Amino acid sequence: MVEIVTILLIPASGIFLVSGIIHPLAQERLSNALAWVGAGLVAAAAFCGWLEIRRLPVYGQLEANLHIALTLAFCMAFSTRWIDTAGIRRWGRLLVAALLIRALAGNDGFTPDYFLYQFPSVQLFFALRLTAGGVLILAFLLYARNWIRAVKSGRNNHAADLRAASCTLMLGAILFLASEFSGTLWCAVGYGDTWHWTSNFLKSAAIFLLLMFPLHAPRWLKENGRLSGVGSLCTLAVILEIVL
Amino acid sequence: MRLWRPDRLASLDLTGWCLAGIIGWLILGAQAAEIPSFKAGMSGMNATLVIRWLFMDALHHPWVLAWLVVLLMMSTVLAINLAACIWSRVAKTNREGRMLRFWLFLCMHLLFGLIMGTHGLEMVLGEKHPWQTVHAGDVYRPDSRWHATVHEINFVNDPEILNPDRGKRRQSMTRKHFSAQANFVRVSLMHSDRVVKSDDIRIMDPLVHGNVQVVLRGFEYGADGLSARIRIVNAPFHSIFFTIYILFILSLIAWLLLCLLRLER
Repeated sequence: MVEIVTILLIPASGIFLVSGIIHPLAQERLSNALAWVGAGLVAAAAFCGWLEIRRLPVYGQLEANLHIALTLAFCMAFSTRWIDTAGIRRWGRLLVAALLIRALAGNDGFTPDYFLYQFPSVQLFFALRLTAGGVLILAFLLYARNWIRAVKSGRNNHAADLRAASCTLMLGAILFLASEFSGTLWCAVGYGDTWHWTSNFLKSAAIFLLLMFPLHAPRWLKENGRLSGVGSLCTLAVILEIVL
Repeated sequence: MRLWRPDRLASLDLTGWCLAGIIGWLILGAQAAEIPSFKAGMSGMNATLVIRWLFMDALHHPWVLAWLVVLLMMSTVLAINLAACIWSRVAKTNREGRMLRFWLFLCMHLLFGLIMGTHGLEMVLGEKHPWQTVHAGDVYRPDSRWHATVHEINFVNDPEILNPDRGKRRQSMTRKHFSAQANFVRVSLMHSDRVVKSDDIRIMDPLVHGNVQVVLRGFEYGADGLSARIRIVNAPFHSIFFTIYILFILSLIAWLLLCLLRLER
């Protein structure tokens, strides 16, 4: 089944790459159509993967990158009702392609079926965290777009400009928090505790506060597009921690 | 003195600085936790309640103690900021026509404060005892009126898979080679030498009696045969903590839905 997943992911990454490249060349319709085909192939690969492992994705280069790419591809496709994705579609598609190439480059197949992965709280911990990663990439792109616009025009971002980015950030934070809740349940039944003084727990707490920072930014940051800069940097830091 | 004016205590500037400080401090702690001596101090905090660790072991780990004190101080300032912010919102905000938004906003922040509060209470109230390696027939007697008798360790798989190397264990202890259901430890939980409950405990399936749990972490195989790692925990705030946590997530979802409705308009 790993071979089928690989066979599906190779054209999918190529399609997203082409879709991202041709997007600014006034080929938007074709680019959008290609992105839908690519998203379908990624979804098919994820389904084949699920048939093989029969559980939600956990960490591991293939599983993690495939799931984050799938989340980002579908977020880009279905968020247009609420969010104006003009200006970020190209970068979103190129990032999906990069994630798929990273999934293929690992060449390590699916993560071994460690016995702990059979428990729903463990599966949800990883899967929701990875889903949050995909959503936060979209939030990063939206913040970065506003930042660049503010820097180019020399004008401030209005509150309305940042609303879509903040909502996406909030969705990512909720997914991350739900993942942490699952992890806390795992910790409670597996270790009798809801908190551990370890590197991973401290990083998770830092991540949640980092996601909350752009939503509670001091007044002096809300000038000259600095707030969108802070938002993009905070989300980027979280993405790097989740993806790498 | 001007700092202590209520409007300053409730300011977003203070929130921003507190969040930035705590984030930096947590990242510093996460990096320091990789240093063996710092890690040993933190392991002591995991083995028992933090309040107990402060009295028993903290002075042996001055760097961990200093780090924890600074973290608690910054968290206290954030808690004061949160309380002042909630108070000023209740007192000042013009709620006309925005009642749902107002109450939801208040709920979210109150629930976050409560989560932090119950987290803090879990570190000082109840009982948490270190992990103990036990064999069949042993009695686990931590410094408590609660203790556990181990009647049987039932391990049906090849014990050679209990490799001490953590990295290799993930490869060898797959679902095919290790059954979380079939491998168990039969224990009796006792309170002042009286059996209150007997049951089989499994990994991720502890014996629960009210707030008290007997938890199985895993199995070990060595020269003295098969053993298990167990601990007794008395956590009176677990269920309250989880309830508040769920309510907090629900309040965030409701807030997001309100924001999305606004976006659609």
